[in-house]
Amino acid sequence: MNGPGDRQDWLEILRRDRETPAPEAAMARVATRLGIDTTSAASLPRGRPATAAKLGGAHIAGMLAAAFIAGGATGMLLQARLGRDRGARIASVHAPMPPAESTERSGATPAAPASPSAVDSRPSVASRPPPAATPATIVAAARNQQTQLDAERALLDGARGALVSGDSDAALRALDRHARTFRRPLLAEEHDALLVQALVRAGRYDEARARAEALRHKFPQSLLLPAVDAALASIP
Amino acid sequence: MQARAPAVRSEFGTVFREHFSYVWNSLRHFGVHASDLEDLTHEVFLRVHERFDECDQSRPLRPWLFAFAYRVAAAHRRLARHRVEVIGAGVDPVADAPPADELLVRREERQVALQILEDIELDRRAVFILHEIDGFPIPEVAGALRIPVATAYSRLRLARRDCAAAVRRLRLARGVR
Repeated sequence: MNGPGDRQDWLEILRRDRETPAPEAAMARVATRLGIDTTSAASLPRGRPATAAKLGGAHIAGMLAAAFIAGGATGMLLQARLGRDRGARIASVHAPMPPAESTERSGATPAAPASPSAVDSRPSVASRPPPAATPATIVAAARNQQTQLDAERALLDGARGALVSGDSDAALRALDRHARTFRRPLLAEEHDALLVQALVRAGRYDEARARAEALRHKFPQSLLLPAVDAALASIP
Repeated sequence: MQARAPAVRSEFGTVFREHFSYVWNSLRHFGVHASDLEDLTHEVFLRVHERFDECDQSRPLRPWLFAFAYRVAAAHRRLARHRVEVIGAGVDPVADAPPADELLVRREERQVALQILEDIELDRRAVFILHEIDGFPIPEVAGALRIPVATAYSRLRLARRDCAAAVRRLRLARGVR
Protein backbone atom coordinates (compact mmCIF):
# COMPACT_ATOMS: atom_id res chain seq x y z
CA MET A 1 0.00 0.00 0.00
CA ASN A 2 1.64 3.24 -1.10
CA GLY A 3 -0.46 5.41 1.16
CA PRO A 4 -3.42 4.77 3.33
CA GLY A 5 -6.47 3.86 1.37
CA ASP A 6 -5.26 2.99 -2.11
CA ARG A 7 -8.53 1.42 -3.09
CA GLN A 8 -7.45 -1.66 -4.99
CA ASP A 9 -4.84 -2.42 -2.37
CA TRP A 10 -7.08 -2.38 0.65
CA LEU A 11 -9.87 -4.18 -1.15
CA GLU A 12 -7.41 -6.92 -1.98
CA ILE A 13 -6.24 -7.03 1.63
CA LEU A 14 -9.83 -7.38 2.78
CA ARG A 15 -10.44 -10.16 0.25
CA ARG A 16 -7.50 -12.05 1.68
CA ASP A 17 -8.61 -11.29 5.22
CA ARG A 18 -12.01 -12.82 4.52
CA GLU A 19 -10.31 -16.08 3.71
CA THR A 20 -8.42 -16.19 7.01
CA PRO A 21 -9.05 -19.59 8.58
CA ALA A 22 -11.02 -19.43 11.81
CA PRO A 23 -9.33 -20.98 14.86
CA GLU A 24 -9.70 -24.74 14.66
CA ALA A 25 -10.32 -25.02 18.39
CA ALA A 26 -13.24 -22.59 18.15
CA MET A 27 -14.67 -24.53 15.24
CA ALA A 28 -14.39 -27.77 17.19
CA ARG A 29 -16.12 -26.25 20.22
CA VAL A 30 -18.98 -24.84 18.16
CA ALA A 31 -19.32 -28.16 16.34
CA THR A 32 -19.59 -29.90 19.68
CA ARG A 33 -22.22 -27.46 20.90
CA LEU A 34 -24.19 -28.06 17.71
CA GLY A 35 -23.73 -31.79 17.93
CA ILE A 36 -21.85 -31.98 14.68
CA ASP A 37 -19.39 -34.79 14.22
CA THR A 38 -16.44 -33.10 12.57
CA THR A 39 -14.88 -36.42 11.66
CA SER A 40 -17.72 -37.61 9.47
CA ALA A 41 -20.56 -36.26 7.38
CA ALA A 42 -23.10 -37.21 10.04
CA SER A 43 -24.48 -34.39 12.07
CA LEU A 44 -27.24 -33.85 14.52
CA PRO A 45 -27.65 -30.13 15.02
CA ARG A 46 -28.93 -29.47 18.46
CA GLY A 47 -31.21 -26.75 19.68
CA ARG A 48 -30.56 -23.54 21.44
CA PRO A 49 -28.33 -23.54 24.50
CA ALA A 50 -31.09 -24.18 27.01
CA THR A 51 -32.31 -27.16 25.08
CA ALA A 52 -28.81 -28.44 24.67
CA ALA A 53 -28.13 -28.31 28.38
CA LYS A 54 -31.40 -30.05 29.11
CA LEU A 55 -30.25 -32.97 27.02
CA GLY A 56 -27.51 -33.47 29.58
CA GLY A 57 -24.59 -34.20 27.28
CA ALA A 58 -21.29 -33.42 28.93
CA HIS A 59 -20.06 -31.40 26.00
CA ILE A 60 -23.28 -29.81 24.86
CA ALA A 61 -23.71 -26.86 27.14
CA GLY A 62 -21.27 -24.02 26.89
CA MET A 63 -21.04 -20.92 28.97
CA LEU A 64 -23.96 -19.34 27.17
CA ALA A 65 -26.16 -22.29 27.95
CA ALA A 66 -25.11 -22.23 31.56
CA ALA A 67 -25.95 -18.57 31.91
CA PHE A 68 -29.26 -19.12 30.15
CA ILE A 69 -30.19 -21.97 32.45
CA ALA A 70 -29.23 -19.93 35.49
CA GLY A 71 -31.60 -17.21 34.34
CA GLY A 72 -34.49 -19.62 33.95
CA ALA A 73 -33.83 -21.37 37.19
CA THR A 74 -33.73 -18.05 38.99
CA GLY A 75 -37.41 -17.60 38.28
CA MET A 76 -38.23 -21.03 39.64
CA LEU A 77 -36.19 -20.51 42.78
CA LEU A 78 -37.67 -17.09 43.24
CA GLN A 79 -41.14 -18.55 43.23
CA ALA A 80 -40.15 -21.34 45.60
CA ARG A 81 -38.41 -18.97 47.97
CA LEU A 82 -41.25 -16.49 48.10
CA GLY A 83 -43.48 -19.36 49.08
CA ARG A 84 -41.03 -20.56 51.73
CA ASP A 85 -40.60 -17.13 53.20
CA ARG A 86 -44.27 -16.46 53.81
CA GLY A 87 -44.07 -17.90 57.31
CA ALA A 88 -41.02 -15.86 58.13
CA ARG A 89 -42.73 -12.71 57.00
CA ILE A 90 -45.62 -13.31 59.36
CA ALA A 91 -43.21 -14.12 62.23
CA SER A 92 -41.36 -10.91 61.62
CA VAL A 93 -44.28 -8.77 62.69
CA HIS A 94 -43.48 -9.70 66.30
CA ALA A 95 -40.71 -7.13 66.22
CA PRO A 96 -39.71 -4.20 64.10
CA MET A 97 -38.05 -5.10 60.82
CA PRO A 98 -34.29 -5.22 61.24
CA PRO A 99 -32.47 -2.31 59.68
CA ALA A 100 -31.37 -2.59 56.10
CA GLU A 101 -28.06 -4.39 56.06
CA SER A 102 -26.85 -3.04 52.82
CA THR A 103 -24.00 -0.72 52.14
CA GLU A 104 -26.29 0.25 49.27
CA ARG A 105 -24.56 1.78 46.34
CA SER A 106 -27.12 1.07 43.70
CA GLY A 107 -29.77 3.44 44.97
CA ALA A 108 -32.22 0.75 45.99
CA THR A 109 -33.02 0.32 49.68
CA PRO A 110 -33.26 -3.38 50.32
CA ALA A 111 -34.17 -4.51 53.81
CA ALA A 112 -32.87 -7.66 55.42
CA PRO A 113 -35.36 -10.49 55.72
CA ALA A 114 -36.36 -11.63 59.16
CA SER A 115 -33.97 -14.38 60.11
CA PRO A 116 -35.28 -17.45 61.94
CA SER A 117 -32.57 -17.13 64.61
CA ALA A 118 -33.60 -13.57 65.36
CA VAL A 119 -37.19 -14.67 65.81
CA ASP A 120 -36.14 -17.54 68.09
CA SER A 121 -34.08 -15.34 70.40
CA ARG A 122 -36.91 -12.98 71.12
CA PRO A 123 -39.04 -13.27 74.30
CA SER A 124 -41.80 -15.81 74.08
CA VAL A 125 -45.20 -14.78 72.90
CA ALA A 126 -46.54 -15.29 76.43
CA SER A 127 -44.33 -12.55 77.85
CA ARG A 128 -45.10 -10.11 75.12
CA PRO A 129 -48.22 -8.30 74.15
CA PRO A 130 -50.12 -9.87 71.32
CA PRO A 131 -48.49 -9.13 68.02
CA ALA A 132 -49.95 -6.41 65.89
CA ALA A 133 -50.19 -8.57 62.82
CA THR A 134 -52.32 -6.23 60.88
CA PRO A 135 -52.69 -6.61 57.14
CA ALA A 136 -50.79 -3.36 56.75
CA THR A 137 -47.69 -4.64 58.57
CA ILE A 138 -47.74 -7.90 56.67
CA VAL A 139 -47.96 -6.02 53.40
CA ALA A 140 -45.14 -3.70 54.50
CA ALA A 141 -42.92 -6.65 55.40
CA ALA A 142 -43.66 -8.30 52.06
CA ARG A 143 -42.85 -5.09 50.28
CA ASN A 144 -39.51 -4.82 52.04
CA GLN A 145 -38.60 -8.32 51.03
CA GLN A 146 -39.78 -7.75 47.50
CA THR A 147 -37.61 -4.63 47.38
CA GLN A 148 -34.56 -6.65 48.34
CA LEU A 149 -35.44 -9.31 45.80
CA ASP A 150 -35.79 -6.69 43.10
CA ALA A 151 -32.48 -5.08 44.02
CA GLU A 152 -30.69 -8.42 44.12
CA ARG A 153 -32.22 -9.54 40.90
CA ALA A 154 -31.16 -6.32 39.17
CA LEU A 155 -27.55 -6.86 40.21
CA LEU A 156 -27.55 -10.51 39.22
CA ASP A 157 -29.23 -9.75 35.90
CA GLY A 158 -26.43 -7.30 35.24
CA ALA A 159 -23.88 -9.97 36.03
CA ARG A 160 -25.68 -12.49 33.82
CA GLY A 161 -25.86 -10.04 30.94
CA ALA A 162 -22.17 -9.28 31.22
CA LEU A 163 -21.42 -12.99 31.29
CA VAL A 164 -23.48 -13.69 28.19
CA SER A 165 -21.73 -10.87 26.36
CA GLY A 166 -18.37 -12.31 27.35
CA ASP A 167 -17.36 -9.58 29.78
CA SER A 168 -16.30 -11.66 32.76
CA ASP A 169 -14.70 -8.69 34.53
CA ALA A 170 -17.99 -6.78 34.54
CA ALA A 171 -19.79 -9.91 35.70
CA LEU A 172 -17.37 -10.36 38.58
CA ARG A 173 -17.74 -6.71 39.56
CA ALA A 174 -21.52 -7.01 39.67
CA LEU A 175 -21.31 -10.21 41.71
CA ASP A 176 -18.87 -8.61 44.12
CA ARG A 177 -21.21 -5.69 44.56
CA HIS A 178 -24.07 -8.10 45.23
CA ALA A 179 -22.01 -9.93 47.87
CA ARG A 180 -21.00 -6.70 49.60
CA THR A 181 -24.48 -5.22 49.46
CA PHE A 182 -26.41 -8.20 50.80
CA ARG A 183 -24.84 -10.05 53.68
CA ARG A 184 -27.88 -12.33 53.89
CA PRO A 185 -28.94 -12.53 50.27
CA LEU A 186 -32.17 -14.11 49.15
CA LEU A 187 -30.56 -15.14 45.90
CA ALA A 188 -27.39 -16.67 47.29
CA GLU A 189 -27.60 -19.74 45.09
CA GLU A 190 -27.96 -17.67 41.97
CA HIS A 191 -25.05 -15.49 43.02
CA ASP A 192 -22.79 -18.45 43.72
CA ALA A 193 -23.69 -20.22 40.47
CA LEU A 194 -23.05 -17.11 38.41
CA LEU A 195 -19.78 -16.60 40.26
CA VAL A 196 -18.56 -20.04 39.24
CA GLN A 197 -19.44 -19.29 35.61
CA ALA A 198 -17.76 -15.90 35.70
CA LEU A 199 -14.60 -17.32 37.25
CA VAL A 200 -14.44 -20.01 34.57
CA ARG A 201 -14.92 -17.38 31.90
CA ALA A 202 -12.14 -15.29 33.47
CA GLY A 203 -9.80 -18.29 33.43
CA ARG A 204 -9.66 -18.49 37.22
CA TYR A 205 -10.26 -22.22 37.20
CA ASP A 206 -9.06 -23.14 40.68
CA GLU A 207 -11.27 -20.54 42.30
CA ALA A 208 -14.17 -21.66 40.14
CA ARG A 209 -13.76 -25.27 41.25
CA ALA A 210 -13.53 -24.25 44.90
CA ARG A 211 -16.64 -22.08 44.64
CA ALA A 212 -18.49 -24.86 42.87
CA GLU A 213 -17.63 -27.28 45.63
CA ALA A 214 -18.83 -24.82 48.26
CA LEU A 215 -22.07 -24.32 46.35
CA ARG A 216 -22.58 -28.09 46.09
CA HIS A 217 -22.02 -28.46 49.83
CA LYS A 218 -24.25 -25.54 50.75
CA PHE A 219 -27.05 -26.28 48.30
CA PRO A 220 -26.87 -30.01 47.49
CA GLN A 221 -30.31 -29.95 45.87
CA SER A 222 -29.74 -26.77 43.90
CA LEU A 223 -31.38 -26.59 40.51
CA LEU A 224 -28.38 -24.61 39.36
CA LEU A 225 -25.88 -27.43 39.82
CA PRO A 226 -26.23 -28.66 36.22
CA ALA A 227 -25.34 -25.17 34.98
CA VAL A 228 -22.38 -25.06 37.35
CA ASP A 229 -21.24 -28.49 36.19
CA ALA A 230 -21.54 -27.40 32.57
CA ALA A 231 -19.35 -24.40 33.31
CA LEU A 232 -16.73 -26.61 34.97
CA ALA A 233 -16.89 -29.04 32.05
CA SER A 234 -15.94 -26.22 29.70
CA ILE A 235 -12.60 -25.76 31.47
CA PRO A 236 -9.95 -26.82 28.98
CA MET B 1 -26.66 -28.52 -1.15
CA GLN B 2 -28.81 -30.94 -3.00
CA ALA B 3 -31.97 -32.71 -1.98
CA ARG B 4 -33.37 -31.86 1.40
CA ALA B 5 -35.22 -34.65 3.28
CA PRO B 6 -32.97 -37.25 4.98
CA ALA B 7 -29.77 -35.83 3.62
CA VAL B 8 -30.39 -32.49 5.30
CA ARG B 9 -28.54 -33.26 8.49
CA SER B 10 -25.37 -34.50 6.87
CA GLU B 11 -25.50 -31.59 4.43
CA PHE B 12 -25.70 -29.19 7.32
CA GLY B 13 -22.52 -30.68 8.72
CA THR B 14 -20.83 -30.18 5.38
CA VAL B 15 -21.98 -26.58 5.16
CA PHE B 16 -20.75 -26.02 8.70
CA ARG B 17 -17.30 -27.39 7.98
CA GLU B 18 -16.87 -25.64 4.65
CA HIS B 19 -18.21 -22.26 5.64
CA PHE B 20 -17.38 -21.91 9.31
CA SER B 21 -14.48 -19.56 8.57
CA TYR B 22 -16.60 -17.52 6.17
CA VAL B 23 -19.26 -16.95 8.83
CA TRP B 24 -16.59 -16.30 11.46
CA ASN B 25 -14.87 -13.71 9.29
CA SER B 26 -18.16 -12.10 8.31
CA LEU B 27 -19.00 -11.58 11.98
CA ARG B 28 -15.51 -10.25 12.56
CA HIS B 29 -15.91 -7.79 9.70
CA PHE B 30 -19.14 -6.62 11.26
CA GLY B 31 -17.08 -5.62 14.29
CA VAL B 32 -18.06 -8.44 16.64
CA HIS B 33 -15.66 -8.58 19.58
CA ALA B 34 -13.16 -11.44 19.47
CA SER B 35 -14.49 -12.82 22.74
CA ASP B 36 -18.01 -13.02 21.29
CA LEU B 37 -17.14 -14.56 17.94
CA GLU B 38 -17.54 -18.14 19.05
CA ASP B 39 -20.94 -17.66 20.66
CA LEU B 40 -22.28 -15.64 17.76
CA THR B 41 -20.98 -18.09 15.16
CA HIS B 42 -22.81 -20.76 17.12
CA GLU B 43 -25.92 -18.59 17.03
CA VAL B 44 -25.63 -18.08 13.28
CA PHE B 45 -25.42 -21.81 12.60
CA LEU B 46 -28.35 -22.50 14.91
CA ARG B 47 -30.42 -20.11 12.82
CA VAL B 48 -29.05 -21.55 9.61
CA HIS B 49 -30.12 -24.98 10.74
CA GLU B 50 -33.59 -23.76 11.62
CA ARG B 51 -34.02 -22.37 8.10
CA PHE B 52 -31.94 -24.91 6.25
CA ASP B 53 -34.90 -26.21 4.28
CA GLU B 54 -35.53 -22.72 2.93
CA CYS B 55 -32.15 -22.42 1.27
CA ASP B 56 -32.56 -21.79 -2.44
CA GLN B 57 -30.27 -24.28 -4.11
CA SER B 58 -30.29 -22.33 -7.35
CA ARG B 59 -28.42 -19.47 -5.71
CA PRO B 60 -24.94 -19.21 -4.17
CA LEU B 61 -24.75 -20.31 -0.56
CA ARG B 62 -22.43 -17.68 0.83
CA PRO B 63 -24.75 -14.65 0.47
CA TRP B 64 -27.45 -16.65 2.21
CA LEU B 65 -25.12 -17.48 5.10
CA PHE B 66 -23.83 -13.93 5.14
CA ALA B 67 -27.37 -12.63 5.68
CA PHE B 68 -27.65 -14.70 8.87
CA ALA B 69 -24.34 -13.34 10.09
CA TYR B 70 -25.48 -9.82 9.29
CA ARG B 71 -28.71 -10.16 11.25
CA VAL B 72 -27.02 -11.76 14.25
CA ALA B 73 -24.29 -9.10 14.26
CA ALA B 74 -26.84 -6.30 13.91
CA ALA B 75 -28.89 -7.62 16.82
CA HIS B 76 -25.72 -7.98 18.88
CA ARG B 77 -24.64 -4.41 18.17
CA ARG B 78 -28.03 -3.03 19.14
CA LEU B 79 -27.37 -4.09 22.72
CA ALA B 80 -25.52 -1.11 24.09
CA ARG B 81 -23.61 -3.22 26.54
CA HIS B 82 -21.73 -5.00 23.80
CA ARG B 83 -18.41 -3.47 23.07
CA VAL B 84 -17.54 -2.86 19.48
CA GLU B 85 -14.05 -3.82 18.54
CA VAL B 86 -11.82 -2.43 15.87
CA ILE B 87 -12.26 -5.34 13.56
CA GLY B 88 -9.32 -7.60 13.10
CA ALA B 89 -7.63 -6.74 16.36
CA GLY B 90 -5.97 -9.75 17.91
CA VAL B 91 -6.64 -12.13 15.08
CA ASP B 92 -3.39 -12.13 13.20
CA PRO B 93 -2.94 -15.18 11.06
CA VAL B 94 0.02 -17.20 12.20
CA ALA B 95 0.33 -19.69 9.37
CA ASP B 96 3.41 -19.38 7.16
CA ALA B 97 4.52 -16.30 9.05
CA PRO B 98 6.79 -13.99 7.06
CA PRO B 99 9.79 -12.17 8.54
CA ALA B 100 9.05 -9.78 11.37
CA ASP B 101 9.52 -6.54 9.42
CA GLU B 102 7.32 -7.73 6.60
CA LEU B 103 4.78 -8.91 9.12
CA LEU B 104 4.68 -5.45 10.65
CA VAL B 105 4.03 -3.85 7.27
CA ARG B 106 1.34 -6.37 6.46
CA ARG B 107 -0.25 -5.92 9.84
CA GLU B 108 -0.33 -2.17 9.41
CA GLU B 109 -1.84 -2.44 5.95
CA ARG B 110 -4.42 -4.82 7.22
CA GLN B 111 -5.33 -2.55 10.11
CA VAL B 112 -5.78 0.32 7.69
CA ALA B 113 -8.06 -1.76 5.48
CA LEU B 114 -10.09 -2.97 8.43
CA GLN B 115 -10.37 0.55 9.80
CA ILE B 116 -11.83 1.73 6.50
CA LEU B 117 -14.35 -1.11 6.65
CA GLU B 118 -15.21 -0.29 10.24
CA ASP B 119 -16.09 3.27 9.21
CA ILE B 120 -18.91 2.06 6.97
CA GLU B 121 -22.34 1.95 8.59
CA LEU B 122 -23.44 -1.63 9.23
CA ASP B 123 -26.28 -2.02 6.70
CA ARG B 124 -24.17 -0.38 4.03
CA ARG B 125 -21.20 -2.49 5.01
CA ALA B 126 -23.22 -5.66 4.43
CA VAL B 127 -23.88 -4.64 0.82
CA PHE B 128 -20.31 -3.43 0.37
CA ILE B 129 -18.74 -6.65 1.62
CA LEU B 130 -20.95 -8.93 -0.43
CA HIS B 131 -20.54 -6.91 -3.62
CA GLU B 132 -17.13 -5.24 -3.53
CA ILE B 133 -15.17 -7.83 -1.59
CA ASP B 134 -16.98 -11.13 -2.10
CA GLY B 135 -17.86 -10.21 -5.67
CA PHE B 136 -21.57 -11.04 -5.80
CA PRO B 137 -23.76 -9.03 -8.19
CA ILE B 138 -26.10 -6.51 -6.63
CA PRO B 139 -29.32 -8.40 -7.46
CA GLU B 140 -27.87 -11.41 -5.62
CA VAL B 141 -26.90 -9.21 -2.70
CA ALA B 142 -30.37 -7.65 -2.57
CA GLY B 143 -32.01 -11.07 -2.64
CA ALA B 144 -29.85 -12.41 0.18
CA LEU B 145 -30.36 -9.37 2.39
CA ARG B 146 -34.06 -9.20 1.45
CA ILE B 147 -33.94 -5.60 0.36
CA PRO B 148 -35.04 -4.02 -2.93
CA VAL B 149 -32.37 -3.84 -5.60
CA ALA B 150 -32.61 -0.04 -5.65
CA THR B 151 -31.97 0.02 -1.89
CA ALA B 152 -28.92 -2.19 -2.36
CA TYR B 153 -27.54 0.17 -4.99
CA SER B 154 -28.23 3.12 -2.73
CA ARG B 155 -26.45 1.48 0.20
CA LEU B 156 -23.52 0.61 -2.02
CA ARG B 157 -23.24 4.23 -3.13
CA LEU B 158 -23.35 5.44 0.47
CA ALA B 159 -20.83 2.79 1.53
CA ARG B 160 -18.42 3.99 -1.14
CA ARG B 161 -18.92 7.52 0.14
CA ASP B 162 -18.19 6.32 3.70
CA CYS B 163 -15.04 4.66 2.36
CA ALA B 164 -13.87 7.79 0.62
CA ALA B 165 -14.40 9.77 3.81
CA ALA B 166 -12.51 7.18 5.84
CA VAL B 167 -9.64 7.25 3.37
CA ARG B 168 -9.52 11.06 3.55
CA ARG B 169 -9.38 10.91 7.33
CA LEU B 170 -6.59 8.35 7.24
CA ARG B 171 -4.59 10.36 4.75
CA LEU B 172 -4.98 13.49 6.86
CA ALA B 173 -4.00 11.61 9.99
CA ARG B 174 -0.83 10.39 8.29
CA GLY B 175 -0.04 13.62 6.52
CA VAL B 176 -0.49 12.05 3.08
CA ARG B 177 -2.19 14.12 0.41
